[in-house]
Amino acid sequence: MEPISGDALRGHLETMALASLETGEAHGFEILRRLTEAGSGALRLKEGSLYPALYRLEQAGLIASEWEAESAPRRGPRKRVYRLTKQGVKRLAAGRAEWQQFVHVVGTILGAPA
Amino acid sequence: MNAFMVVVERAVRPVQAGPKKLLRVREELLAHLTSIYEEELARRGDESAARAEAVRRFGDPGALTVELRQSVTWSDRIDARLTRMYGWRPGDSAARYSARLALMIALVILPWLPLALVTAGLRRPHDETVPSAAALLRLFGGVGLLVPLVVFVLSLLSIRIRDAMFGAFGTPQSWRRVAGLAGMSLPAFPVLGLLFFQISLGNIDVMADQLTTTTSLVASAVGYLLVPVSLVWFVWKLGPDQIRHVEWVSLDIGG
Repeated sequence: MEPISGDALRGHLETMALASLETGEAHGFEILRRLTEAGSGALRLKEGSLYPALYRLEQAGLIASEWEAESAPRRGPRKRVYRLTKQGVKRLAAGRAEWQQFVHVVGTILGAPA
Repeated sequence: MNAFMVVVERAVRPVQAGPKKLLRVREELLAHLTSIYEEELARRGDESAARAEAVRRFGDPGALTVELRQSVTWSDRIDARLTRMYGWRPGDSAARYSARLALMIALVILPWLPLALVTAGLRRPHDETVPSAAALLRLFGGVGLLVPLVVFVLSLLSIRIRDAMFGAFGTPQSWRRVAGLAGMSLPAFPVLGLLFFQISLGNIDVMADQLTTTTSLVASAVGYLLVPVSLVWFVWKLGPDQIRHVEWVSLDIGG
């Protein structure tokens, strides 16, 4: 499978991050692991660029975050755990519908099965 | 860890946001970079190869700066501007930072002087409700001297308490020193209060008159005791983040 990276991912990263949080709260590294697994290794994302996307989602009220609870002695720097908000769940549903419509329209034009 | 901190700091330092937001971004990115490194180390078993791969996977710090700038809000920009004016700068000693903070406060107070003098100028003769220009000047002198002095003393003490409390920046950790420094804030307010009354009213009788009953003495004692207690509490809550902020901004990232 051809790797998907850079511009091809632009505009979709935020919706994909929302989708990855559907299975439960996670910190950035875990979100990326879920995305990589779901993309069967085809996603080629510079990992640092996930965070600006998360900050934009948080500012828009689509996700919320807090520092990981420190019940055990912590190794290394703190991690922040993200979760979907109700608004985020709605936005994810709308994003999915938009994507399906896009695939249907572009697929029809390109003559490929949608 | 330090090499990873440099990578993170190259991406974060040029972003215009306040220390709180930047510290969050720094810590998150560092945690991520460390996680990649641990994953790669488990996979490859070679520290230097794992480090190189972690940096490669993380991406170019310059490109990340551009993306982080796009996530900055107007309030972050205001926060950044205020921090540039009032915040700690690399190389600042505790005394120098506190003096700059005090000066800034004095500069905030000073522009109100013309307004007060105009008010005094509108005073009709024998009108007791509006103070005279001379009284207002004395009051301004008191406030203009006292407030920056209070800011200077509290800022200096809080930095010294922080370093002793957390054993930061070469200061040995010592609770005895914390108690001693907090105790030094105890006489600060009565002394500065006396100074204020002396400058503003020309005597300290007003202050002395307020301390004639047991209730007023107890209330004042409790009030003064609150100063060191609040100072220690404030340092306890904010100290760790301040220390991390200083460590990050003092990092030599080259270029």
